[in-house]
Amino acid sequence: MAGGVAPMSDATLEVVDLVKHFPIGGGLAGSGGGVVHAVNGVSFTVAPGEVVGLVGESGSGKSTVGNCVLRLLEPTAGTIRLQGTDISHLSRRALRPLRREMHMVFQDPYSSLNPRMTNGAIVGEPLRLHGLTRSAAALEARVAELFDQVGLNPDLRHRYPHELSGGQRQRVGLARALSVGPSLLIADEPVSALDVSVQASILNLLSDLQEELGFACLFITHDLSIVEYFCHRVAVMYLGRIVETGTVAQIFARPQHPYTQALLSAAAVPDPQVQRARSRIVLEGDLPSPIDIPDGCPFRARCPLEHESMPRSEEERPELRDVDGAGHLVACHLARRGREVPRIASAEPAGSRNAGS
Amino acid sequence: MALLEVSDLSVRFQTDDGPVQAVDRVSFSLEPGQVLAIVGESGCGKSVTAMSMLRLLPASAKVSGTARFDGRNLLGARDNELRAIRGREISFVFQEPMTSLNPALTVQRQIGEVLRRHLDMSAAQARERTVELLDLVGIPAPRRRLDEYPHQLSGGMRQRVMIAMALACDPKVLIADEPTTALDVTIQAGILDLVRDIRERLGTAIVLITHNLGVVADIADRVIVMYAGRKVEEAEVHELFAHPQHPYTVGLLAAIPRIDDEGNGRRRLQEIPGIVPSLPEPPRQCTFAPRCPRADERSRSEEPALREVRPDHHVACFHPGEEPWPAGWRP
Repeated sequence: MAGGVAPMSDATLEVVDLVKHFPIGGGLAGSGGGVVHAVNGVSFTVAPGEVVGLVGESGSGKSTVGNCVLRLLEPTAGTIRLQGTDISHLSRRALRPLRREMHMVFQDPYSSLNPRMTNGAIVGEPLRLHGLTRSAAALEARVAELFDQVGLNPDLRHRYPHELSGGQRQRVGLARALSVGPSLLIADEPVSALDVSVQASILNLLSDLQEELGFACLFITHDLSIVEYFCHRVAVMYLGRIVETGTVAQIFARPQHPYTQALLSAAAVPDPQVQRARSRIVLEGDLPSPIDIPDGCPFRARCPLEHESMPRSEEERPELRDVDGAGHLVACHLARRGREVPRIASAEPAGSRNAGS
Repeated sequence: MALLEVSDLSVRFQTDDGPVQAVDRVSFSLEPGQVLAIVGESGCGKSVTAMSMLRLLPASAKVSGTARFDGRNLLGARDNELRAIRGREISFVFQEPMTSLNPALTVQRQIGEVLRRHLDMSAAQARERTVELLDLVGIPAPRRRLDEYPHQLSGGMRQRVMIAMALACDPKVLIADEPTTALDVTIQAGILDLVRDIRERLGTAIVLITHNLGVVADIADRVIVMYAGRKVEEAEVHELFAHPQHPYTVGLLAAIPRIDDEGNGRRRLQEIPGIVPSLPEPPRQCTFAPRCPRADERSRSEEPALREVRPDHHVACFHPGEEPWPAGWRP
């Protein structure tokens, strides 16, 4: 099976060979002709109570995966199973009862809350729609309880979103997502619009709630440092494919794929002593166009190790392979069982050019 | 002698909700070739500080204080004097390269405009100089890019074009407002290398405005931390990160998730409960006191002045020190 991920019937979420292509052009002229290959065969699972980080840069396809799982988009191919039920092509109506089981938190706390509803009505809406409370009083009590749970003063439920700070709004979004007790939370960059100090409190809150309530979570982000704090497992995406996946310990202590190595080395550490001594891999060029994905290894045009994997990298696309027998999967021709991908010898450390300053 | 000397810079806005004191008596100086970082979270006044120096704020802003550049006070300069300085001696790079480039102009027209306006170059000269500049900022095959429009460039390329434009007249000061914030990390690393390289090769002094302490740790020489419109701490970069003194700086540094090489898993981050206040008047107290674990009666009734607590390390706090916040502290 692609990706080497065995199907797990007891998984909360199981994604198998997911493909999402967007035709472009169309319009009046008709045949634009091209296709954006946003997601090209992605497989992964999220076990009950597990937090999986889906990491990548702009254009990697990570949000498209999230939107397909939520069925805000219909997959072009592949299967999405939520608690064993195939939801890949379910109708909106058939999907409705399952909506209780998965909920989302979005990046922008400003545009993801209806400005005409009070915060209390926003948080209570899923409960109302799913008919989960018997009376108005019970709904009110449950909403107040949810406010308390996410660290908001319950009095704020009579206010409107514009009266809240960004961090408070994100808490409202989280209370709304958790109101129906979902078994899967999909969080797409939930803290990247927030200031550092607010980000810290939302991440701590997410950790606490996840431990307390035990929901599974697909955490979509571009920020590897956050992943290390919050996630159990990580999948790194590049050009619509997972190029490496493993536990947080596997990925951070022994990153294999040259792209993962570059991503880790590029994150700036807030310590001048450490940061200026770190070696850094600067990738050449830009992400290739997802309209015209190159043959062979999708990363080869920017890969610092391409000379070592030529000519195979041009001819054959590397599949995910288990490199340690413990579920650390890497899609690189240089990776195989028992042999690690070489650590990329980088350019000189950033600080060495600063020697005179 | 300092290249740029800002003293007691204050900025007030009249808004629909009443007056807001965005910047409150901020002073600093920038030395030739120095990278000075101004850091803080949204609403701390860091961008307004930079914009006010070149009078780029709307008319509703009331600016006071002085900003001396090359013997002239920018805040009192006539419009035509300022126009000769902006883009030529002091230039700007903004956060969003897509919205700060004119989408209807080619790369060549965009950069060429600066060269022709300030340096009176002919079209042919401007074209050649533009190629040089694109090459300087690391754009491959620069000649091919001349006739492209901003939408044809990637985010990283656009930011390089912005930087090329800012460097067109060989400015003495480059003000970069969140230059890497909109970019992916792998692209950010390349832009930071470029900024470092420019400072080394051209000796340009840089005011770097950012919320990202990782970026500060990477390239700054000196750091100013702002909170609610005030400068609360200033020191050389290694000193500041090794021995932060203001409780806000201490909290901020502990709030950032850091990648370690172990994959140690879940840890708690330092929270800073409360929100940044928006102040109608400069209060006669420490503006951080309502969120501060060290605040006492004095902090709430008197404004702490900046003072030197360690060599060349200034902090505006009655209780400076690098000890971490008490666990689980709430106001």
